[in-house]
Amino acid sequence: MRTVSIFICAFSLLSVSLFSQSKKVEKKQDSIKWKYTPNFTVGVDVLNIGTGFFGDRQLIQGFISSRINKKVHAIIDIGYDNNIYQKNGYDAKADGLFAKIGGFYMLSTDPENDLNGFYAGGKLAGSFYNQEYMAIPVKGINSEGVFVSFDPSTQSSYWIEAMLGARVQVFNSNFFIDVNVQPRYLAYTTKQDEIKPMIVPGFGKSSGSFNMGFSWNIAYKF
Amino acid sequence: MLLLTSCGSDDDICLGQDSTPRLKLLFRNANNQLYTADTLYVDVDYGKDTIKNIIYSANVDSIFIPLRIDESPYTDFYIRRRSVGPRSKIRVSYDKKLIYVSPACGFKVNYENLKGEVLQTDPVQSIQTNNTSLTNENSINFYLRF
Repeated sequence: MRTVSIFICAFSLLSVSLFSQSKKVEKKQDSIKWKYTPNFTVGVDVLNIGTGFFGDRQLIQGFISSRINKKVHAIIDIGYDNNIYQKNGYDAKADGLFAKIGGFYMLSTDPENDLNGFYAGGKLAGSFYNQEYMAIPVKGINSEGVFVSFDPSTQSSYWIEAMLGARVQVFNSNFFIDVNVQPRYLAYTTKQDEIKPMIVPGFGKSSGSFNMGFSWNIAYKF
Repeated sequence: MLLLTSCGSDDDICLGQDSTPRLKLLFRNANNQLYTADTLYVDVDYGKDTIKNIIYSANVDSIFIPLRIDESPYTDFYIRRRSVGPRSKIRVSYDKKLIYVSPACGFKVNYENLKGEVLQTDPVQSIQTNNTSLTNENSINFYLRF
């Protein structure tokens, strides 16, 4: 856990120095009228791939977004998450694929480049995964260290999430840095023998229904 | 923000109001009347190296005994009326049922088909069954007859 925190700290400092170098380039943008032409931005979450080397969780995720009109972008995320939960007598693991679909709205944009700016949006998400609970504690007075285990099973979970973030063009290239947070709420999950899952791939720790995700992407605009 | 989200959050804490219920016993004297022991000692064998003393107190009219939750089909406990003196061995056997409670609390155990047996008399002479199901701590499961 500590090495992960150090990595995230170092990463954020690096990103600050990167941001400070980027200078706004004067660029005449189109007028009020904006017509949709096929456009795609593809991004990869480099922060979570990086933290995967230091922690128990391997989270690989990326997105494809497309600008629909002047301020609205549609977005699809896909990813793979492999995680373990070993705490309070639990020993569990889960891994699987997840996908999210949604859109976001540019709240405030750089007048010189309307691809730069802050945005807010929402997504619907689903995850399909394998889980195995090797141990779940049985609680009773004067008896410690009693557990039950369950066979591996396939489950699915669904959640809604909001996204708040910013997108900044790197110098004058087609590369962007896209940083966002995702407060999320677990709406529905299938259960093995009524057991509420402790971890859900793509969602994270799920013992409570609320969670917060964070991603730091490098994106390329085609 | 980056540093904030990197901090881990504490996990839920099991408040224990909905955990495994304890066995409830009351006492009767030779005339079958409710009885209060002037002093009482209760020791329970939880399958460890030593038996565990769970009660030593004065003026006891009822006791709660946490039963075993492991694989054992019975729990043995010992009743003494004096610190040094004869002790009764009592065995309560049962069928266990695991019930899921919550992420923080995990599972609890409910007991069915409770059966009491006095393996060693004095001071307890016999055991009378009242309720063979243990799903909460509201009802009396056994009477110990002194």
